[in-house]
Amino acid sequence: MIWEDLRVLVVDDNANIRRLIATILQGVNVKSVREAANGHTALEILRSFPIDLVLLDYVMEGMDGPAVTRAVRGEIDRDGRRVPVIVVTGYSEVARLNVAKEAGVNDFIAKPFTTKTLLQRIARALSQDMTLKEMETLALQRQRQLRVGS
Amino acid sequence: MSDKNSPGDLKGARRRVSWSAAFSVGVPEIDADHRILFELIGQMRDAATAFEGDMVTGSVLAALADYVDYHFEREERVMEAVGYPEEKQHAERHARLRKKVEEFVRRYNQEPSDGLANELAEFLEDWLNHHILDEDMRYRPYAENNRAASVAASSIGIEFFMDSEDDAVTGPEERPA
Ligand SMILES: [Fe+2]
Repeated sequence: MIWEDLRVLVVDDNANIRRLIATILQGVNVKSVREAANGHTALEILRSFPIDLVLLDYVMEGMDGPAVTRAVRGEIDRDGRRVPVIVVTGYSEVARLNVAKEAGVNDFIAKPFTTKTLLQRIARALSQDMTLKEMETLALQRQRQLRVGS
Repeated sequence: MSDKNSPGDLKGARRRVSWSAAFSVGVPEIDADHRILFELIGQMRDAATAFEGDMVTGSVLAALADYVDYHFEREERVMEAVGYPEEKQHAERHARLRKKVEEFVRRYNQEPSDGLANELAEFLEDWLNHHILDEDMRYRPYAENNRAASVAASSIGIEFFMDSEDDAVTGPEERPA
């Protein structure tokens, strides 16, 4: 897996968590990390840029994690390819996790998390869903579609 | 934020150290680690100051401990690769610091507190500051512009974090009801 080429979106209303995740990823040479403070902004980014993986807070004002995930599954996924979504949450009651799972979340990380956990979950989600190469092709297609559409 | 690093800043009680060229040890990968460590120390202070609580501060603390391990491993490989004569003593200092960080993490996990996080941040900042300038600089003449150093420095990467079981709980089915 080529971590340098990975394009990650971090969605969390807490700026310190966004900064932390960005720093951890930077530490392993991930070059592209975008940040969104809410679900609305997250979807705008997903519509405009190729994203290989979403790290998503559960509890947020407006759209919560499951709502964002449903929008990703309905609007962003294409050709049977799913953008891996990992929910990072401090609220890991079974009921909540089930809602997120039904919405189409790939995996969960409980806060507080270790760097090891974060990176291992990312690696697993990526290997489950598709190869980076496949994602790249797909992302490029999506970008072209967007350009044609505008 | 231009006054953040000025010695006369009274508000923050003490000045913060961030990476600058003065800290360069002549190996870009190691410099990059040092930057990350200073950044994480700053984040720990910010989290503790903002009373973020365990979910954020605990995550920053864990990242700091993980990156300390990662960085020391890299540095020790470099020192060995270039035949740095004081490698053993240097690695012993690393081992002592690692123990100290582990002890902090253990205490924090028993009873998470912003005070303790702040204490560790201040301690680590001082330690790193002096360690880079006084200890790491001593291997610089051996390591800079040395191909063996850059090979060793880039011999450690993401696999470092992949090798052992991760410690968090997964999905709903793995949790007690
Ligand atoms: Fe060192």
